[in-house]
Amino acid sequence: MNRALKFRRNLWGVAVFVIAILGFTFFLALRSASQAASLFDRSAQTQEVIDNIGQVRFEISQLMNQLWAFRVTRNPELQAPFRDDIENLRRDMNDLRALTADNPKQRQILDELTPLIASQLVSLQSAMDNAAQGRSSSAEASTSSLPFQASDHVRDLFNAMEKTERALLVERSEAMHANVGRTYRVVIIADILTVIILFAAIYLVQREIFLRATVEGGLRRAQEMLGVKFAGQRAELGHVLEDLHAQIRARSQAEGKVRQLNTDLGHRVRERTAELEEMNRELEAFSYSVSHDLRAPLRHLEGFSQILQQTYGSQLPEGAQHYLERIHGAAKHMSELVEDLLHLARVGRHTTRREMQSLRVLVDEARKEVEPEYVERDVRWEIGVLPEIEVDPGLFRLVFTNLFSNAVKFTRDRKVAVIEVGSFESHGMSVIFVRDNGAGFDPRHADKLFGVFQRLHRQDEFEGTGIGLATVHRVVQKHGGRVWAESELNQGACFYLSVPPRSTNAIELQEPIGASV
Amino acid sequence: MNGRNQEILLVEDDPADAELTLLAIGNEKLTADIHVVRDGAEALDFVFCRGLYAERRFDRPPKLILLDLKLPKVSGHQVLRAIKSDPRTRSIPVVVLTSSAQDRDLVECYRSGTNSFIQKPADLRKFQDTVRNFGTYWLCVNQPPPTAAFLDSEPEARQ
Repeated sequence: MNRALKFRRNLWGVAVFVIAILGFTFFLALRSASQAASLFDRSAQTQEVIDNIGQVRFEISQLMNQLWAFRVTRNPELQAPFRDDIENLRRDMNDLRALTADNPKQRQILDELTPLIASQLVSLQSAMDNAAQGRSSSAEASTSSLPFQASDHVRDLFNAMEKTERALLVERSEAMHANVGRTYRVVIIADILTVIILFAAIYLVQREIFLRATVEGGLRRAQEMLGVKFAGQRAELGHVLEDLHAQIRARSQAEGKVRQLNTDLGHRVRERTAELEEMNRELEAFSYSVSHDLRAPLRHLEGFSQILQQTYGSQLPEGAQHYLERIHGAAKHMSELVEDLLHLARVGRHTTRREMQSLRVLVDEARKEVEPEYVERDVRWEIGVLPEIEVDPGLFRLVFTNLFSNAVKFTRDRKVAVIEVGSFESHGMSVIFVRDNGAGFDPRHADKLFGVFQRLHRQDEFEGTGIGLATVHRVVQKHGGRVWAESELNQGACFYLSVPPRSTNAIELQEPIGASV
Repeated sequence: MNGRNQEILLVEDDPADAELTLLAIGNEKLTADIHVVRDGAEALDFVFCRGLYAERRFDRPPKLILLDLKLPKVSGHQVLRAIKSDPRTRSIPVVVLTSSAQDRDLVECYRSGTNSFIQKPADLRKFQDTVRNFGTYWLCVNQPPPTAAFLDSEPEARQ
């Protein structure tokens, strides 16, 4: 854009320059021509003056000759041309005066000459008249050349005039030559300048043309490339479009399938949900029934065996008392099993209801709950700083009750039982641990620890239902957390729970717990 | 079915449970007649003075009703609702005495207007303690409304 503008401006500059030079040259040439014309006119005029002078001189001598001839011949026929010649001479003199009107020097000479000529003509006329009337005398005859006595002076004057005029002619001729030379120079210089400027202009134009050609070539190549590319892209686009159409077709087919599947799935989900709901209802009924009907007989077993013991204990033989104790123990164990299973079932059914909860409070409540399990034992509690997290208080109290109950149970062989509760942060989770210095467990069986009915100790070592840790596991899982344990045999055990401090959208495990009941 | 004041109605279908409860109460020597009915229908007849109990009078209601929830014919929940929704019987203290303390039972019983809810402890000693406690409370500590109230309350309760 910029370049083109500059070039155009340059070109305009050159054009204006050329026009100026041509105009100037034209003006000079015109002036020279006009000067030349004027000089030529003047030269012609000078030439005419010279011719006129010659004519006048010739006519004067002619008149002299005619007079002489008439005097000799007395031929009257000679009188008429004589008169004509006088008239001619007068006319020529007038012409000469007119021609030299612009030249004061010639005019001066002419002013001197004119009266001389006029008097000579008068003399000639009178001599002619005298001769015609025959009154010529010898004196006159002898003085036949009288009228021309002053002719030398006339001749000198004419010569001077002629000389002046010739000098003028030379001068004018030189002026003409000078004029011509000047004109030549002007024209040649102007031509040279024009040629130079033209070359410059041609150079500029050529360069511009070359540049444009280069640019155009580039453009053309670019266009060609673009064209090729465009064509390629069009082809590609065509393929892409085809692919796209194919994909769209495939997709719409797939979508149809998906819709069909979804519909089927919807049906199946509804059926399955109905089934599950039915199952849940049955399980509820089952659990309710267990809760009521299974407990009652156990309670009766316990109750009546106790009454038997109380009322007739003293009358029974030792063996009978032993069996009574066995019955009582079995009933108690069964009661515990039922109790724990119902807890586990409650965790499964229960929708967690979370609130910000000080774990310290829950831990203290759980401690109080297990207190009856370690009367007359030395148990030291070391409770560290515990966080406030969002949990279901009921379920978490259950967790701590289970863990503490275990800790108390497995430390009963220790002189001093130490139960440590603490917490730390790890990967954005609150980790709570319960450590004891009890019997511990073999880490090779750690994977069985949290399974329902899984026990790592014999019943006669440490009694238990094998449900407590399963309950702990389930509660923590419901809170989006994880449980694990570390131990060595006889080195104590440490149970860890990691729980998100705030409730995430952890999946509510609404699974029926029937599988484990 | 005598005319004594200290009358307790025990609604219990399980004879073993009934026996245990009677034993516990008996141990405490509560000066009360205990009447045992074996299902919900009979309980309602007793409370509403009809059928077998037609000769009973509304102005002499039992001092306390011990109610099990799992009952044949008419469930404990229905019995509770019937008693607590009738102005003539509403003022009778009802203690739900049951094997299980499931949340939904608790919620429903309190919604129906039970005065107390007790889960029978498995341990005999604990059970005896419990019976002694609530028996003493309801029969000796707690002040029942005057008898006239049972009859007067009818019109306003129909609102």
